[in-house]
Amino acid sequence: MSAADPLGLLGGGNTKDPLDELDGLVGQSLNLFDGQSAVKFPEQPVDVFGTTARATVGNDNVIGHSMDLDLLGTPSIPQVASGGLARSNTYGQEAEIPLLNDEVQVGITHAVEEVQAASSSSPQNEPSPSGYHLVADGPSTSTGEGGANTGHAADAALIRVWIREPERMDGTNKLGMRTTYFTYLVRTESQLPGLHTDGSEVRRRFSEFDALHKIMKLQYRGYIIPPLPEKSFIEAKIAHEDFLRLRRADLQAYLRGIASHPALRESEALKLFLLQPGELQYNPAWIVLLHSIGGSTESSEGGLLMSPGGGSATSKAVAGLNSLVSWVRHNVTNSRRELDEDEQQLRHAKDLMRDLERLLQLCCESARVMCSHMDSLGSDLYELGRNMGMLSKWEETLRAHVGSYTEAGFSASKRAADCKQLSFASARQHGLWKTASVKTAASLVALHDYYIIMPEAVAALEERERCLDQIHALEAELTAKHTDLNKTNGASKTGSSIRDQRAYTLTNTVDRLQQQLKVCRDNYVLIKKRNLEELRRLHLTRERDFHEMMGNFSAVLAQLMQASADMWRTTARQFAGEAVTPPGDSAGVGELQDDD
Amino acid sequence: MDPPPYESVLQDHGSNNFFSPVTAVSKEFEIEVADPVKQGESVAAYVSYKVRTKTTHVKYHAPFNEVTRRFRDFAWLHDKLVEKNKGHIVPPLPEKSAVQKYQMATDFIEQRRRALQVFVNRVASHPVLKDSSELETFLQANEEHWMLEIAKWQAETSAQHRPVSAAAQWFKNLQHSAQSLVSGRADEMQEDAEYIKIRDYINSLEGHLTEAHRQAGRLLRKEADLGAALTEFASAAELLGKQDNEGPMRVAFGCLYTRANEVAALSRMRSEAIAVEFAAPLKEFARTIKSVQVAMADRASALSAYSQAKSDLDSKKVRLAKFRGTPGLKEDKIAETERDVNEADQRLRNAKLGYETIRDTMREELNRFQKERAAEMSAVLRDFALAQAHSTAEQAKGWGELLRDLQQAAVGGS
Repeated sequence: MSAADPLGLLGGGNTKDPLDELDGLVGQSLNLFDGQSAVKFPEQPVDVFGTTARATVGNDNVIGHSMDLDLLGTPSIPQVASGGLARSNTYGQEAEIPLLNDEVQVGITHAVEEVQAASSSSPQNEPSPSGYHLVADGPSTSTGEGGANTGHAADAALIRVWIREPERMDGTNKLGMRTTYFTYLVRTESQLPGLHTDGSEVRRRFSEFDALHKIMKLQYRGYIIPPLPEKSFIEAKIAHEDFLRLRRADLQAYLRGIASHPALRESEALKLFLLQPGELQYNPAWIVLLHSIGGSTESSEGGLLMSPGGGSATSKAVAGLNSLVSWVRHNVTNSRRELDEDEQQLRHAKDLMRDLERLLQLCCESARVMCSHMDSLGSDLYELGRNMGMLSKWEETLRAHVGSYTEAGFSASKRAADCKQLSFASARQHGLWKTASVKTAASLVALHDYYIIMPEAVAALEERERCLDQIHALEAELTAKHTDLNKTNGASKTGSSIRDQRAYTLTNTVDRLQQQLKVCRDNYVLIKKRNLEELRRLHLTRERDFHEMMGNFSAVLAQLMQASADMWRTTARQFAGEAVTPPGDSAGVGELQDDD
Repeated sequence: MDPPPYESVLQDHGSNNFFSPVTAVSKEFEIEVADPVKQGESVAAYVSYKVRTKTTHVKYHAPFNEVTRRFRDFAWLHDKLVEKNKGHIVPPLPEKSAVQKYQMATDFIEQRRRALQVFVNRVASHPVLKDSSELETFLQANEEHWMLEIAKWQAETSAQHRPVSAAAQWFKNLQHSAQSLVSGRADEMQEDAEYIKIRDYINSLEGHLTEAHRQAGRLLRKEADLGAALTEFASAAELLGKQDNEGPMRVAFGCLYTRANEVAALSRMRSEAIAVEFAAPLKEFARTIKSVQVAMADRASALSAYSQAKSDLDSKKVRLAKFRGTPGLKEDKIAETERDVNEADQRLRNAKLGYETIRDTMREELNRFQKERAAEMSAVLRDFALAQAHSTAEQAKGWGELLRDLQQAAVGGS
């Protein structure tokens, strides 16, 4: 057993060179999900306006507080949702952002029409046979998302989750003190083979989410697990409406993230969480799972491949290993260890993730600024409209004073009409810009979603690194113990029971260490494989989601500008005295304008 | 397409001709103010303009005329017209800006040139002022003749006539109202109600106008801010795209960057153009209101003079009656008082005539003013709306093209 090349065991792990693909990913050859790597575009403009966004993450509020759009979490008209990371959080037209009443039907630009034509003729629009539509009678406005695929349909539509109705509960905690906490209704509809249900509803509180999260992190080391919102002690007590709203949305996003992850959603813990009625703390299966976490913080050294019934023996070993690992990190210089290529590339990937996180933050921030400018513009237009309205009234007053049929009166009524028209135009533009600000933010939500997942990706990569460190630590200790053993055995053969006992103990230790080392190495292989899978998946979905995002963004802005142009044109015509009489205009003015 | 120049608004008061078209008279003159040339040095520097006239007016001896004039000359025209045409709303002169003039920036000169052109054309389309001899002199007089006129005018103004008369007038008014307070005269002359309403309207109009101007400015600045934010976002997105080395994301984000910058630049340009174009008419309107207020002040003075003359006559009549009723008073005393009364009566008649003339003039003028302004404002607003429509349509096109780019990148790049 060579200490210098522990990674030699990885020889048979992965045949392809995945990091080449990671770096210059073209995307076609990897049939990871559904064989559909071409990007998806919004098919019709209406779709864009209907797209909702997940509410902002409570803690950073990167895209601004006012962005909580998924207000009720009501189930939508069944729509096929795409499998992307960000899109997993939206089920098509979940919360309609209401259009203005008199919104001009926008003239769609040629490009969008082309897209529309293309996607409607693509074969992928046919509803797929298995598991795509949750309700049999759902309209098949399929999004062209790999409908022809069969086997690996890793689409998020398989499990759909909503969280609603936060409720305040009073109870007693372990110390016998009265506490207040909140429960949330979790509704699930799923076609996933292991988790089949037509609509199960359970109530969960935050600590149960927290437990689920810890279990996930333990059992699925190496996978990118969505972030859970932070535990909050004080705010929960105060029961702020905003807090509840945001937390509900965050929790929903969290569950949806898990539900759309091809590996995570197979978890037993998730099944229990979603389907098991009653409080989880009394459920035996759940309790078993909880034990594997071991109540305290640094819990993930334990067994992926160990049986969950490891119990207290594991936790002791865990504690021991922990201290060893930190010792190794501090004292053993890593420079003499050469990392193999895979390892190096993966570390490089981690750096890339960090960069990406930073860049995403920049993007999110500038997106926020942009949207707030739009909003502000809308407000100004409102002010202008209001002032114009007042001006109009004032001119009307003059007209009333001097009489409509005097020259002065007539001029006044003409000016009053003009001001009123401008006032209406401004009011309409105001509505347009306000809506656009919201929709723009919604269209860019992918930036935010990826921004918050980056730290989790880094964490997943670091799990592997830690595993490697463990291996190194174990190897170091093993070497030391071997040396000891040899020394003990090689000492003078004068029989000493102490010496024999020592040798016996050492041999046991060596055996134990070797076992642990094997487990660790196997873990490492597994985690590494998962890491690579995840990087690939992340890259693919990122590509898809960002492309879609940019398409949505352009479409929103194109429509905004087009609608704005149409409105201005109409207004110009009205000023020129052509055709349209503005709505709600006084009869007197209407008459007067007829004479062209 | 840039927003149409404001001057064109004068020639086309929109299709909103309900009463007789206001522009009927403007076709008698077509005046161009052109070719600004800087003259002189440093503090004494000024700009001269060529004023070319094409006219069908009977009083003018030639259909075509060209003279050279400077800003001071335009001021002569304006001030003379104000002096000689009480009660008329004389078109306003562009701002006299000492500092900017000193700097003589090209933009400033161009703006001034246009404003002067608007001014002189407005005078030429005013139903009364177009026939004035002052205009004639201005448009036709040769160098010599003109220099004489200017010299005469400068001599007058340096004697500071007007400030004195204004102050004197003010004192008289004060005296008069004090008198009527004391004597408790109930038959104070009243302005007619319609005029009062219009007068109040005009006075508050200025405030509203300033507010509207400010808001429009704010709006345009906000649009500029949005453009800047968009550019920022595009840059951040480009950086994000570069992470992807040669992959499709880089291409897509690159497209976003390019197009977004284009749109932002376009939007900025248009906003600036619109701001400049629409500042001019708003400013001119504000100045015109001042002209109207001058005319209204003249009317107020005339009314006051009329009022005073009346109360003067009344008091003299009372004195006469008293004297007549007093036995044993000297005959020549009575005769003198009778003469006084006759004089006062005559003055009253003059004052009354003076007031009524201005009053009638102003009624015409105010109506004309309002009608013109209503039509012009409509045209200005229409042009503003069109300019905005154009700008936003361009931007819509830009975004549509981005969509197309993205689609092509997706199809081609994979």
